[in-house]
Amino acid sequence: MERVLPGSAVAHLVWEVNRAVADHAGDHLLLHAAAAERDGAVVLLPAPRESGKSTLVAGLVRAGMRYLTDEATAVSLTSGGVTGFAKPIGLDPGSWQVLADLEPLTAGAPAPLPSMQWLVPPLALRPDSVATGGRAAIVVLPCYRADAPTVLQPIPRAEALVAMAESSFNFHALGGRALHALAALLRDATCFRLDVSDLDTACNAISEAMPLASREVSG
Amino acid sequence: MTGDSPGDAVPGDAVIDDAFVPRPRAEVAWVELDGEGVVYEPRSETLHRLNATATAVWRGCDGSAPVSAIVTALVRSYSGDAGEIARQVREVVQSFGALGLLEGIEPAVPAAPLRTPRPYP
Repeated sequence: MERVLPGSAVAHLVWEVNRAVADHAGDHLLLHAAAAERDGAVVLLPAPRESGKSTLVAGLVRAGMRYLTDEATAVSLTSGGVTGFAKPIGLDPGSWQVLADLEPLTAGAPAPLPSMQWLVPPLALRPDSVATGGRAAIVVLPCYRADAPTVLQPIPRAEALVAMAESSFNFHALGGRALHALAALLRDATCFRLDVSDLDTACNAISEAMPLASREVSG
Repeated sequence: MTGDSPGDAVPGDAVIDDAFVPRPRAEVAWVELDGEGVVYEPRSETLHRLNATATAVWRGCDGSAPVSAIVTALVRSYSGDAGEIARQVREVVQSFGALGLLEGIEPAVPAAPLRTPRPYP
């Protein structure tokens, strides 16, 4: 029998849970996207791995928004509502310095290996830090660029749609239904591309965009 | 790829000329956001984002009118050289055919499939 390090076992468990969630998506489009919520308005952060989704959503929750997920977001094909998979926030070593205040919150979780992630229980940030769902108000395509200024730039909804489809786990399985669900979601949302080098600046920019987007949604 | 003059032969049974009536394949889905079309072709699992001109042409490819009528409608709608608009419309319809979006026309080249993430690390 192969000996397994505790950190590896945790990573494998998280992998299995992720797979189980994806396999039971049902009537939902699953996006590889982080998400946070405020007053029912959701910011969606679809992006490939290593784009800084988890760091960004951790920063947003630390700044007062509520956590939906750092990994997988489900969009209902019928209602358009967005729900998250509120797993522990997985922070890579690259983000430990800017989110150092979250390290004590990992107490109780298995100690990670140096090359592994902090797993931050979202409820450890605040008792009300986890939301159950909401409506997408803004869609932000984040990209970590260490040597570029942090800029939130509006983009066309069609560009966001293509990026979201590329970030979906089951777009092809759902086909046209997924396309129409994404279009319906985006007609009520404002879309941006975000180059991130400074976490606080990025979180402030998103936070400032949220109320404006919410007014557009309700108006 | 197909050429840019009407009447060019394209892979498949039909020929796209001014009399051709373009109709999307039944399985093709599309949406329009702020005047930009996004078309999904499930056989190749490919999304195509259309610019404003291509979207206007795609709207006309509804199986109700020949290419010549789409040209006439868009020449009326857009300012500019009528001959150039007509050339562009024909070229765009040819492209739709080459991409496998139209009934009766086989794609000229396989489209690159949509990139999707690996669900699990």
